[in-house]
Amino acid sequence: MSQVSVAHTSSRSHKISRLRRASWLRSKLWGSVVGVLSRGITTFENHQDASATKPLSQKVRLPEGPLIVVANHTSHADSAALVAMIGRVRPVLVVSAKDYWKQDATAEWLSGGLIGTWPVSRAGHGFEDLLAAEPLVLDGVVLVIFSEGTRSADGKLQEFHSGAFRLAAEIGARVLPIGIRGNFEALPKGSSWPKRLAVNLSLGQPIEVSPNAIDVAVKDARSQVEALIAEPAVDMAQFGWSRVSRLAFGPVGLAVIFFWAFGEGVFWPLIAEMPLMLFIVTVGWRWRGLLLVAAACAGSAVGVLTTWWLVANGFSPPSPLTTARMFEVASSQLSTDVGSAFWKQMFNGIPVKVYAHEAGAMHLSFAQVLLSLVPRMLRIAVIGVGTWLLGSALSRWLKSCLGMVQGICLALFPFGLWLTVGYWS
Amino acid sequence: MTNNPQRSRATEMVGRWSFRVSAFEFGFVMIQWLAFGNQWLGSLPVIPAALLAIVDALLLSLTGLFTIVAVAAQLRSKTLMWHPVGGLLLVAGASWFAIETFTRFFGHR
Repeated sequence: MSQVSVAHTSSRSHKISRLRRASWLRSKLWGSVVGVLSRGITTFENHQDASATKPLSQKVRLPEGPLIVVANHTSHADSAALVAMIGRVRPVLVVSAKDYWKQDATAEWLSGGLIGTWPVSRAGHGFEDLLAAEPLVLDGVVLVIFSEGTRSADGKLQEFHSGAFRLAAEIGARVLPIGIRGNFEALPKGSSWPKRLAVNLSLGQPIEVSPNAIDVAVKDARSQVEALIAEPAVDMAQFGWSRVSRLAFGPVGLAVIFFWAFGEGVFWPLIAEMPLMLFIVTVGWRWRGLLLVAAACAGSAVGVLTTWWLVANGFSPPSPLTTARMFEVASSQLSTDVGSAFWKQMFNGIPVKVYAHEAGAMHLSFAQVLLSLVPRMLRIAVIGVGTWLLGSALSRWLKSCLGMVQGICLALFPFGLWLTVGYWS
Repeated sequence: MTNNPQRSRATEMVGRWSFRVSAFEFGFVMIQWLAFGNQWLGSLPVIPAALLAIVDALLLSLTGLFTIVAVAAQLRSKTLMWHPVGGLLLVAGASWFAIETFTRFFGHR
């Protein structure tokens, strides 16, 4: 008997850890989707304290113990937002209508696989379906229940059903009211494409539900949610954007761009345009953009001239991530036609320091090297100004997801470097 | 609205969009195939080639997954529209052209 019990307990804990992993993955998925399609999710841990806000990237403190979350429901995006916020802290399941989300394979796959739903019948025996979730809730799974029963068509809070509270009373769980703001304006019932607006999740005070006072708990939760959604959503996006923008407008940003480009001309293996592109998207329609481009151009020119001078005087700086073939090709192009060699460098993937090195080794004159820098400057200027214009045009969209976009680009950069170095090896 | 009671609006929408996205990706890859084959970008466009190889690998993987899901969803609903099947063929064609373009470029130096 005890062996059976141990096996049962082990199977349950295995199930919970699988659910925890799945919830974490779903939170990352929906966090990314919401990050791109909205202006970000911000959680208010304490509604009274405006400073107690957390962007989605920071974990929210949820009450300990068995927990049922009750929230207002105006949009399909509500489940995504709650899973994105709760899933990174605790395993979570969202109670959904069996008749709606079990229609066919796609609906079932979307709800069960991507959201993580707990289907409940709306045609009788719904509470039995809810009660079946008891072991999971007692093991730490947060059950999200939209107590209105369906999405509100006009955005106003409807009457709450008592199922969530009866379940909480039955199993000794606490009920946490959460107010969701912004989703009705972004993706109301009947619309198929969301508007890019901010989403706020405001946490209320947890409620202990007594079996003898279920109605009181229902009223308390509803009045809390009503208060939490009374104000329109606050746009708290742009954390990362503001930080990068401050750097771009300060001396540090200018110095980073200059020395990065200078380093790339001497020994640094990463392209000069990298920090330029990161900073310049945030400056908007300001002249600062031109200053940043000029800093990158100046840094690169000084770097190339330094390498040329060092090599011409017998010192060869290190050249990581370069190959012998790169030096051969650069040397052959420079000996054929100095003017066109640097034009060819623009897109051939051979670092500019290799050309500068070979120019020094061939003892080209200062004037020759200076003239050959024109295509180099042109490439930096075109990429810099292009990113500047693109960033300014897309700033409304980029403001809330700059970190994610930059992160994806940085993660993919090594593959590009590998392909380029591989081509020349 | 759905014309068939056996499949939901979501299944139909996923099916149609899988074709549209695949058609776009196929056209994008064809332009690259022509550009690299005819040296429209010069003789040594290594940086654009590396960039496009990464973009294609990402887009084709995502589009392929999307069309496979669309076909699988319709097969489970036992009503197959031509859109996701067409999308799958286009993704397969685009993948062939992309592999041909970049193995030729990075393989023959």
